[in-house]
Amino acid sequence: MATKVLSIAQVTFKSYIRSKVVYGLCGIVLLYLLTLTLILFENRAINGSTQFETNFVSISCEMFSFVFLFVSVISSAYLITKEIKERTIIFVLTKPLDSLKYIVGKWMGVCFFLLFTTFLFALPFHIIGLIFFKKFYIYQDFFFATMFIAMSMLSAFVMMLSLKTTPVPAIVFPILFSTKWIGQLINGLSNTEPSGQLLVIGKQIGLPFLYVLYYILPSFEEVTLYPSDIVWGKEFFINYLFTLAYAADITLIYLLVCVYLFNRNKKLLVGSVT
Amino acid sequence: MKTISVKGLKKTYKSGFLSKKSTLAVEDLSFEIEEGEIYGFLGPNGAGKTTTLLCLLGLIPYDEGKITIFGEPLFANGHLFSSIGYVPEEPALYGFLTAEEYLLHSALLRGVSKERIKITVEDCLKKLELKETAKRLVRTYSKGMKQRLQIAEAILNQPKILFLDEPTRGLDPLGVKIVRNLIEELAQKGTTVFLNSHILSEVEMTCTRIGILNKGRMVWEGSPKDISKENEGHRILFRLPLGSTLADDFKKVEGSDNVYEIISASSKELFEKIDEIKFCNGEIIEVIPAKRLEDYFIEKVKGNGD
Repeated sequence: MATKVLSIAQVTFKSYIRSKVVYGLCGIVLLYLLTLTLILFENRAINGSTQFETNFVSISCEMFSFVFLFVSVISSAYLITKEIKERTIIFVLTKPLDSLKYIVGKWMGVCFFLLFTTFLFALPFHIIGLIFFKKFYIYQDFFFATMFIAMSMLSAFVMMLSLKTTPVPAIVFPILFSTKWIGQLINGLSNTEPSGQLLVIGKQIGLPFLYVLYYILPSFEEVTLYPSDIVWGKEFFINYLFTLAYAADITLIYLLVCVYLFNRNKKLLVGSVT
Repeated sequence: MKTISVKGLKKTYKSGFLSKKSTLAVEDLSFEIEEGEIYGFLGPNGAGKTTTLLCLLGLIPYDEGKITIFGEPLFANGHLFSSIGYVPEEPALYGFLTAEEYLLHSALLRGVSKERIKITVEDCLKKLELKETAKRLVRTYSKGMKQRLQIAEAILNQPKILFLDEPTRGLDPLGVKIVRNLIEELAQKGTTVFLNSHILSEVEMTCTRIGILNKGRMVWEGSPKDISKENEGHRILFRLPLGSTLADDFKKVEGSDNVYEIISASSKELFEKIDEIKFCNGEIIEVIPAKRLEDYFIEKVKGNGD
């Protein structure tokens, strides 16, 4: 099973790497690097050294999450609709492959691509940090890792939506949704308000991972953090764990819905291209 | 055991508001294909050939009837796909992969063992003469090369059934020859081939049995030999010496100076005519069945439809 899933994931990853998407991303990275440097020089004149560094971390993280959000949504939305449009879905459907393996493989492919994107975006951040502040922001790597998890979860949502019809609602809806919830969650990595609410809702509707976490961490709702306090510590790990559990739950739901939709629409999907 | 068995197949396409409008694609279609047969499926545009093929592959549902592959319903047994190859009418390839990567991916999905995978892929590339361009991205391939790659993908893992939908479309004469030889080679090894084609000469040359479909119904089924048996008449093309006094007795072939034709109604008459031509110092160029598959196809389709 693993061989087939990994093969699909690998092919999906190659579809991004060998497309124009990567050139676009490189362009964004360059722009990001340029903007970051400009902001740094602007701030150097106004603020003191500590504030200057805080601004650098805060601005780069916000920019990163904003760009990354679009990357993950757009790269996931066309994943299956493109297969239908280009008729390569027939290649998949005429192989001894069940829908779960196909969906998992596709999703893993997006995750690999998001990991690659994380690396691509984190690189200028670390380079500038090393040049200007003579620091390598290790704790920020956790931020990027958490963001990756949250974004892969978002990708799962997008894939689910795009599976049924066209990529349009799959692009619009998550952007609206994520700016409110996920974006806030990732940006801050700290805002207890939505996290606490989601944890309680998750527990009430029986999402397994959040349910377990609720009992492991009874003091979770008391945790309060703000963007400037992103540091290595207990609170950081609590937030990290929460995001993980949330991502795992949503992924689980996503997989079940996807398999259902795929089986139900399998004939419809092929019918629409033949 | 029959490799493919279709009994009373019916398929309608629903369209319009609340799916109230229905178009009949295939009706009461029944046929059986034995192991190692090359079955040619013919029919005019819109006859229901591709619909039948998609039903056979389990890609679209059908309204009535029963389809079994090796005695099992295909749609309920996805594992059967590991022994089935399919070449669609339009190439459906991953353009961002190289030909080698594409075949490796397909082999993995088909469950080819890791030890055999490289040899299998190389062998297929070699058979379809794609080895030299194996490292090139598929999107840079010509139409014919794409079609050959599609065929290479379908024959990976030596399929027990090969479904071909217009396989020689876009191929040059050399490519056509490669594919034809490959089909014959596979059939000799026991692969059942289902060939859906518009090119009648190709079907006539390659297939061991032919089914003609018109307006969703099978109008004729038999072998190319049956056509000759049913029509004993022959067309004889011959050349007479210039200025021959007997030339006026024969029909001249348009656009030639001294090439004539004669139609014999039976085998007995054929030999008599040949003797007659030889008596006039004529040279026989070609003796062909008066009615070829093309004539037969038109006759059957028109007779049934109009």
